[in-house]
Order: sequence, then C-alpha cells, then structure tokens
Amino acid sequence: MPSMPSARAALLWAAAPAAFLAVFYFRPLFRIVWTSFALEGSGASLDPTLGYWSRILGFTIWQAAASTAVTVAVGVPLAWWVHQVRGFRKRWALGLLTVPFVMPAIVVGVAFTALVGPHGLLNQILMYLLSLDQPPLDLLHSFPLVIVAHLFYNVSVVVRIVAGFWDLLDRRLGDAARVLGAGSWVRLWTIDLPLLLPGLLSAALLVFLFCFSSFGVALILGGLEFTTLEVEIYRQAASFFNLRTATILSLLQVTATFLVMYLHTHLQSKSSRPRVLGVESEPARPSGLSRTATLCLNSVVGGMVLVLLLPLIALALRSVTLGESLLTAQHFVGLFRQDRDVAFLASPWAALGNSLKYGLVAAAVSVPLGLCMTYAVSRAPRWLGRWLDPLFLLPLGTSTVTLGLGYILAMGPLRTSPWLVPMAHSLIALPFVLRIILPTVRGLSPSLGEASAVLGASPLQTWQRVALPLLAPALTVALVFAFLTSLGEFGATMLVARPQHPTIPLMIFRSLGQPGLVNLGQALALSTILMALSAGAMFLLDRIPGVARDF
Amino acid sequence: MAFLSLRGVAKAFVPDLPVLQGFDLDVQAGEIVCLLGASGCGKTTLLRVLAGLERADAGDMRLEGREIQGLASHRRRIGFMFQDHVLFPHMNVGDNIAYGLRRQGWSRASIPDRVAELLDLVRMPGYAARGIQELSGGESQRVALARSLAPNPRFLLLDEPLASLDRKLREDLVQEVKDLLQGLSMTALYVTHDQEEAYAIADRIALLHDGCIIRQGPPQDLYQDPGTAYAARFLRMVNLFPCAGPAVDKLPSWLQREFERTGPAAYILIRPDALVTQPWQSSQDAIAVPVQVRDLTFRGRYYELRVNALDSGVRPQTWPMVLDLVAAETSARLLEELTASIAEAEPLSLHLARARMQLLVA
Amino acid sequence: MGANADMNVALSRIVGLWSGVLLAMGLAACVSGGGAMVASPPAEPEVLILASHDSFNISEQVLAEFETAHHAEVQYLALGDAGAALNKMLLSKEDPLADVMFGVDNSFLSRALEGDLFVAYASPQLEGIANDLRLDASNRLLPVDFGFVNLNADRAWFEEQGLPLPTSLEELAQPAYRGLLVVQNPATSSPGLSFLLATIGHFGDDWPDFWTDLRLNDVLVTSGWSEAYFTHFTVGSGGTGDRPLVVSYSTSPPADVLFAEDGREIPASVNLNLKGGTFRQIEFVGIVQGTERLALAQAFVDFMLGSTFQEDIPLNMFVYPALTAAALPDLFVQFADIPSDPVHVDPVDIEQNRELWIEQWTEIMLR
Repeated sequence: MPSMPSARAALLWAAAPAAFLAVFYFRPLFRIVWTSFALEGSGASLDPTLGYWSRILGFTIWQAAASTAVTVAVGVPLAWWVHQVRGFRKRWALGLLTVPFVMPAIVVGVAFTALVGPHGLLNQILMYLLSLDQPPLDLLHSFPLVIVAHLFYNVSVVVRIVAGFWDLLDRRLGDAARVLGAGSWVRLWTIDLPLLLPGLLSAALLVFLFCFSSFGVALILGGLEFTTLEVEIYRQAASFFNLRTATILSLLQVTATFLVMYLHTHLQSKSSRPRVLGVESEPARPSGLSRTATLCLNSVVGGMVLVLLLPLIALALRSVTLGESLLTAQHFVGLFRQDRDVAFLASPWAALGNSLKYGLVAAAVSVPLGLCMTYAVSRAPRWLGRWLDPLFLLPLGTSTVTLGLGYILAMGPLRTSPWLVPMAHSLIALPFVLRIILPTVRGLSPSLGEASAVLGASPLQTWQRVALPLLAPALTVALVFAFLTSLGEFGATMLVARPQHPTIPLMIFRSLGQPGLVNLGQALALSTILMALSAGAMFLLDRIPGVARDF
Repeated sequence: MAFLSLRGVAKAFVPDLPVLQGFDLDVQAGEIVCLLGASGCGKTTLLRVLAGLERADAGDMRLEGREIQGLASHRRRIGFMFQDHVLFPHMNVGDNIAYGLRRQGWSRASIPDRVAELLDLVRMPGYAARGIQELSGGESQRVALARSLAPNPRFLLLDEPLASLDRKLREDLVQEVKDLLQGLSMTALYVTHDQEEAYAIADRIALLHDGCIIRQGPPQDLYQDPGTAYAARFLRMVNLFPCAGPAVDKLPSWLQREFERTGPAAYILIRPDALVTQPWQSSQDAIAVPVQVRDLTFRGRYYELRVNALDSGVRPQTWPMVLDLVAAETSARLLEELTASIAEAEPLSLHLARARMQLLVA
Repeated sequence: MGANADMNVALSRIVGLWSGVLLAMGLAACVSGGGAMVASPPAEPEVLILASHDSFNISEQVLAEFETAHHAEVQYLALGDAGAALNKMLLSKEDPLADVMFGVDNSFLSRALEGDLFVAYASPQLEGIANDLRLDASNRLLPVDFGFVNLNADRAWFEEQGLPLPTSLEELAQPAYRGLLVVQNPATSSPGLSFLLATIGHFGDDWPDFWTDLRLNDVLVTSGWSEAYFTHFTVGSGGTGDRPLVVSYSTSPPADVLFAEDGREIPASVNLNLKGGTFRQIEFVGIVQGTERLALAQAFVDFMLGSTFQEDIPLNMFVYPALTAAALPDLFVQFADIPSDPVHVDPVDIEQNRELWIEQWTEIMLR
C-alpha cells in the first residue's frame, strides 16, 4: 500500500536490507579495495598500459553489445508469440526458456560441449546425415559461441519483460491501425515497437549488464582469447595476485553496473504502469492471421524454443548415453554408490540435500528483505528511489572473485561458516526478488489499506488481511525464484562453500576435476537432475496467476 | 441492392453461446443507421466483424455489392471510431490523423493539407502539433473522428463514440457529428446504448437483442410503435405496465380485440400525453379510468400528474402512472378538480386517448 | 491520509523489527556455526583447520587414525586452486583462516616464502623424504607429495591410424601430428602453467618459437584441465573427443582404470614422457604463522609425512608420496612410471617471470 512518498518512511523500510547489504556486500567490498591499495606487493609486476585497459573494457563492451543485439533480435519474436498465446503453451515456453537463466555456467559449458563439441549432438547428426568421417563443425572457443551462449542464458529476460509490456498494451491500438489500413508488419513497426521501446530498452540494458559481467560462459566457452572484465579480474586476482589491478577493474565494473542500472530504473519508472491485478486472465484474442499463418508461426517459434533448448537436450541425452551405444541409467544409479572411502567428501545426495537446504534459507532470507526493499523503493520520493533502486541491484554486477576475497577479510569467524553460502545466495537473489515484487506493491491501491483502517483494523491486521493476500502470488514467485537462484549458483558458492557441505554445482565442478568416465558420468547426471529440478520449479512458477514475471 | 447488405451473419466466441445469430441488415448509401442495444447484445461485435477485426462464423456481407468477408481488415476501407477513441499515444494529433493517409500512400506533400482540412472540418484548426495527452475528452473525440474520416472510408463505423463524455458535451457533439456525416454524405453504422443519442443521430434505428434485430425503422416510427415491451423498456418509455389477469369483459371492445391479438400476458403502454382534457367523442376514442391522484407538479411546459389507477380491469392498482398535462392547454377548472381530488383523497375519472395507448407483447 | 501514514510508519516498524530479528537469527546461526569450529570446551576434541586447494583428498580411516590419536577434529577448508588458495591465505595473514596449509607447489613456493606466511618446523619425519624434494632449506614448507605434468596419448587411436607415438616435443610441431594436441591455458590452469614451464626450461629463450610452431600446427587451448580432458581428449571423453594427445598427469592412466565403468584393467591412455615435456610439481605443507594450536599442527605435519598418510596419497590425489619408503599401489607401478628427467625451473625464476611468461604466451597463442 504505497502512500505519500516520504524519505523518512523509505529509509525506515530500507534499514534492514541496507544492514544486510552493508554486512554482506559493502563492507567486504570496501575491505578488499582498501587492502589491495594498502598491501605491499599486491601491485602488478607488469604495469598495465592504457592499451591494456582499453582492450579489456573495449572487448567487454563489444561482446556485451553484440550479445544484447542478438538476444533482443531473437527475444522479440518470441515475446510476440508468448504475448499472443495463453494457457499451457505460454507457461511451457516461458518456463523452459527460463531454465538456462538459473543454470550454473559450468553446466551450461557442459551442455554446449555436449551439443556443439567434437562428436557433440549437432556434429553427430550432421555426420550421420552427410555421411562424414570427421565432425564438420568446430565451434568451441569461438566468438559466435560466446554470443550464442549469452543468448541462451538471457533470452528469457527479453521474452519476459517484452511480453509483459506487450500484454499491457491496449490491443485496440492495433485494431485502430488495422482499420486505418496497416498490415501486420506495418502495425508492428509503427504501433507496437515504438510503444514497447521503453520495455525493450530496459530489457536490453539488463541483458547488457548480465553479458557485461559475464564470467563462466566467457571463460568456459570462449577461453582467454575472449577476456571480459570479470575474467580478467579473476586472472589478475587468482593467477597473478595483482590485487590492485583486479580491484581497479572491479570498481570499473561496479561503476558501469550502477550507471546501467540507473538508466534501467529511470526507463522503467518512466514507462511502467502499476500492474492491475488479475487482468492477465484475458482470453486469447485472434491475431488477425489466417490459420495457416498461425500454424507456420507456431512451428517457427516452437523450433526456436527447441533450438534454444537444444544444449539442455544434448546434455540430458549425453547423461544417458555416455560410454554406451544405447540408453543407460548407470550414471544416475552411480550416484547412489559410495564406494570410495574419502574424508570430507559428501555424497551426491548429501549435496542435493545441501542445495535444497541452502535454497530454502536463501529464499527465507531474501524474500522478507526484498519485501522491505520494495516498500522502501515504492515509498521513496522520486529522487531517492532513483538512487535506492540501482543501489540495491549493485550485487548483480559485482565480480564474485573480488567479493569472495573481500569476505575473507571482512567476515571474521563467519568466513568459514557454511551459513555464509545461503547468505551469499540471498545477496544474489535480492535484486530479482525486488524486481518481482515491486510491480505488485506499486499496483496495490492505497485506498485498500485506508478502507481496512476505517473499518477498524490495526496496521498489522490490515497488512495480514489486505496486503498479504494480494501480495501472496508475487511473494510465492519470488520465493521460488530465490530458491532457484540459490540452487544454480556456482561462482559465489565456489568461493565460500565448505567442501564438507557441497552444493550440486560444486559437486559437478568436483567431479569434472578428476579423470575417469565415472566422474564425467556423475557430473552429467547431476547436471541433468539440476536442470530437471529447475524446469519443474519454473513450470510451477508460471502457473501462479497475477504476477509480474519481467524481472 | 443496398450499399451494405448483411445476411445471416453469425459469430460465437464460445461454442453454443452465439453473440450474433443470423443477423440481417441493409444500409442504404448515405444513411446513418443506429444500432441500439444493451451491453452484451452483440452490437460491438457486429462492428468488429464488419471491420474485419473478427471473423464471422457464417453469413454473407456485401459492401457495394461485393463480398468483403475474405478481405483483410486493412484493405476494406471501412472507417472505425472506437469507444475511448484509442488515439496513438506516441504520436501527435497531426500524425494520428495522417496515419491512415500514410498507409494509403498519400504523397508527403499532400498529407499536411489533408490533415489541416480535417482539423478544420472538426473545428480544431491548428491542433496538428499538439500531443495526445494535452487533449480534453471532446477534443480527442474530434481527433478520433478526423482520423477515421481522413482516408476517405467508404463507410464509417462508430462504436459508442460519445460514451466517455459527460452529458452536456454529448448533447452538443451528437448534433455536430450528425451534421458532419450528412455533410459528407457518409454512410455510417453508429452503435450506442443511449436512446436519445440514437433518436438524435439516426436516419434509422435498429434495436438489438440477443444478437438479433428485434425492431428497426426511423426514430419516429420506433417511438410510435416500439413493437414489444422489451423495446419499449429499452427506449425508456414510461407507463409500461404488465396486465395481470385483466377483466376483459369490462373493457371496451377495441381493447378486447387487442387482447385477443396479444394474449392475456401483455403489457400496456400508456403515453404520458394520453390524458384527454377535452370532452371525448365516444368510447371508441378514449376510455375512462378511475384514479386516485397522488400529486401534481408544475414542470414549466407541462404539469406532471402521478396517479394510482383504481380498478380499471387493466392493471394493478398500486403503481403510479405519470401523465403530462400541457400547461398551456390546461383549464383552470381541471386544475381545481385535480387539486381538490388530492386534498380530499377523492377518486376521479380520467379519460385516456385510445391512440396514445397500446398493448405490447413481452 | 494521516491515519494511513501513521499506519505505514507503524507497519514499517513492525516489518523492520521482524527483518531485524531474522537477520540477527541468521547472524547468530552463522556465528554459532563458526564459533563451534573455533572455540570449543575442553571436553570436545581440539579443532585443527587445514586449508588446501580443492583437490585435497584423504581416506576417512586414515584421517580418523590421527583424530583418535590426538583427540582432535580436522576441518578442511577448500580455497580454490593452488594459486587462489595461497592468495587467500596471504590476504588473511593478519587473521589466519587455518592452522595448517597444504598444497603450495613449487611454482608458488617463492611467493609463499616471500609472504612470510609459515613458521619453520623441522619435522623428525623429514629424514625419510627424498632430498631433492626439499626445496625450502628453512623448513617452512615441507614436501608432502610430487607429481608430473605429462603428455597423455590415446594408445588405441594411434594404433588405428598407424601413426607412431611422438617421441620428442619437436615432433608435435610436425604435420603428422597436426590438430592432435590439446593444452591448457597457463593463466587459468595449473597443468597448463607447468607444461609451459617445462617447455621454458627445456627450450630456454627459444621457447616462444616452439609455441609458435605448435599454434601453426593447430594446437587447441582450453581454459581448464577438465575441459581439455573430458571434452577433447579421446580417452577422457569416452570416445567423443577430437584430440588423442593431452597435457595431463603421469597418473591419469591409472585413474582411467580406477574410474572406468567397464572394468578395464589396462588404461586406454599412456604417458609419453617426452624429454622437456614433463614437469615435476611438488606439493608442500606448512604451519601457518599465528596458529594457536602449534603443537597439534606440528603433530599433523608429522602425520602427513608419516607412512600411513603417505601410502594413502596415490589413489586419493593421484600423485606420488614424498616418503621414499612408502609402498606404491600396483596401478602406479604398472602404468605411472616416474619420468626420468623432468624439467627443473627455479621457483624464484618462476615467481619473478610468471606473469611475463604468461603474457608472452598469451600474445603468441591467442592474439
């Protein structure tokens, strides 16, 4: 129930999330920056030249811009389709497309390798079709593959945001254009796209941000030929111990993130109307296309979804065919086997348990904090909200390597605690939680609260009986999303997790660190399980009605 | 052959729940036909089907003799003015009006002239550069009209174009729209749920109910003979009473014959001007109804008389009937009689003209 | 509006309080979790924290032996790869993360010693350790194990193609071996760096020429070991890879047997042991300066150098024990022969030139 904007109320609401961010984000960041400039011998032995900085920054921006362009180009037609359909097709498409978004980069790497690697699914199909002896495609470690992987990761962001905007457009605008003589293409260019522009830009900025801070995908699929800022931070900090260079790069990245998010917030507040609850159930309206055209479109879009999901399909296929000519379940069965007696090595099932536990804690911590953030942002006067929103989103664009080093300095006894893992996950989930709940909170009418208060309800009762039921769907979606984020998180987990308490992504990483087919099989099986879990949760998530899904 | 001819047009969004069923309508060139009906009666759907925004399930639609069903919406050259106007928010007034012209491939040079011409037509000269958000309700209505007229449509559809405006503005604009359409000899189908708007604008009114036309004709005819009680009620006619168990034998013979036509479960419609103040000629022209007068109100041009009818054999006794007495024709004697009747609670016999009463089926 | 504003303030307080409580609970949980590891009542076993890289492994029973004997509980802190682990320890020098650190290797030895991270401890167990492994005369870092980065080949693949296995590094640059080798990027991979160091030691100042030739001969570079081994190496990928030669370890062939699913007894891969193509990685253990459990830490170092632990090393970490007398498992004896003359590069040289060499390598291979 947003009431009159007030800086005081906003800051009061912001207190708890701000405290959390201070402890788990700003203090560690500050400590590592401070130390890296104070610590002797942490500087580079080779002084970075201007050419070095501009090369790193230039490539980072270039690859992010190219990835964004491709993602938007593919995302918009998909968004159009998602906007046209209703019911289970919409839910499936959205759910499946979002699965990659919560997958750890290491799994995406494995999946792409299973697809386009030598003897990957694609090469095998081509070899069979063209009767070739050698795999025809060599896509690994190529720039296009990095772009495609970014597309695969982020296309759901564009689809969700743009389709969300599209659903809110008055359809009669298109009708009006139609009767004035505009065909479908003309309508798209003259009516829909201009009106979608703010949404499109805000989606593009978000994708740009994700690609700008790309680490795992760039490193695993691109290699060091394609050094993004975040990869370089990792290289400088982990390989060379050039903390000063790493820190300067990190600060550069944080600044860029803030600028991009500031722009994003600005665009969003300019364009988004408060969401009216429950308008989504509007039945499908005919698109004005013939039955054949609709069928063609459906198959094209279905094909696109399929292509986008091919890496995951290839991964699943590989997990049941590895080392065998026919189908085999042995890699899954193998997860039950614990024939090595090794200290500190948790079983895959314990890892699954940890993942679920951390996911629940991360959801339980991030959603209440996110709700407070949401109230703070929705209640803040314009000038304050413009700063609060991007500030809360900063963790999204901060190098986990840098932050991980900061944790070592700033966390005291906490730094070796397994509880640090869900805390780090909460930090990463918070921006998404904020994005999911904010439109609903903005859409709650203040008169609801007033009406309830007039009827004699106490503030708490009012919140419980009026706001909570209206917020419940958004909160549920946020909970599930936070859970999924935690489930698939790898970078930060890697830096703070204890080996006795591994998560699934960590277990996959560990399995891939030792030779032998048993280990590869285990990694593939675990990746497939993680994927199935995420897909299932995503599907459920999109069944919840009346919520913004365009984080 | 009519300019627009519809035969058996049917449309259902949900199977077995038709919105339009077997819809027939002819519109002559230059005629303004008003579709009048309650919300949900299918009138907007009919417009959307005609404009090609929905596909009809069945039926035959011809414009100037040519089938239009297979023609894409943007090729039909039918203008459409939407409820709430639906102006393009990202364009200014001029670009809104020019939108259809651009689609028709008007030359760059000729567009501003045409836009100016239309702005003059809707009496908004110089508004071309204005933003949509700056317009008042009436202004945006005019812009919407200009936009739909700009590409010279063969035929104009108007979907409750005035519904979002306040009453005063509506009354002013309805005449303006009529003049404008007549001036352009534009054939139009005008949808409304407001009978006064319909009377004011239509050459012909078609009354819709459950996806069918239940009655149509010039406004005067419809007023004179609504045909059914439903139509009368929809046209907001007063003094429509169900005739529960009429004592037929007490009635004059012409009324008895009417009942034979309608059956006993009919409604009687008594026009407010049915009161005959001059001595009547015979029982063929009027009937005497014993009433209890409840009050008499001076309304300027006329007096309004509320009466409770006593046992007339036609209607239950408790409901007030509203009758008008034209002030200029009311004699001082009658006024005295009426006032006395109210004061003393004495029943009185009023004479109602036969021509101003009719029996209607439900 | 006034009542509403009051309500909102009240509400915000309630929710603020609630989140505060939640945060406090979270923090308390963290503190209690961490606290249990740091401070424990006397009746509880004494906790020893061992920091290492991610690939530290030891048998449960072996560890239990130590824990029982010293009434201690050993906790393992994984800090990333060898370089990252050392960096984190250096970063937290003022407030040490652990009591003992294992896993500093010879390429990082100099950095660790310069950082003054460890205290000297002349363990009595050092007597049994081969002398050439003891690179730190001050005994701050004590050798625990050693391994060899080596080229592995797919035996069956070469037989099928009728191609002899390469016998020298130079041959790898010949057309016959075009497109057969996959190596790792030395900036992001430990075996990648070791192989680069080996070639630098072998070729001296001419090493860039060798790598230029390799690049021209279509060598494949991956970021990490697992991608090279599992994706590209024909053996490691279960037949779907495209490279029959890989930079890996001398002990990868025995691992291929141990982790095989088909019960094979002879590994599908063999060590090439090329001159100049093998590099010895020695891993050291050290007692972290500032530990409050010096005695226990020393006992643990003794234990790591003792025969129980040393004999447990091969099949858990796939390296050779530093203790000369330690018995080797059959798999090692059969398939993981120790290369005769691995390349030696001085740790001080490595520390001084690492970044320069990697930059040069990157320049040659990737730009």
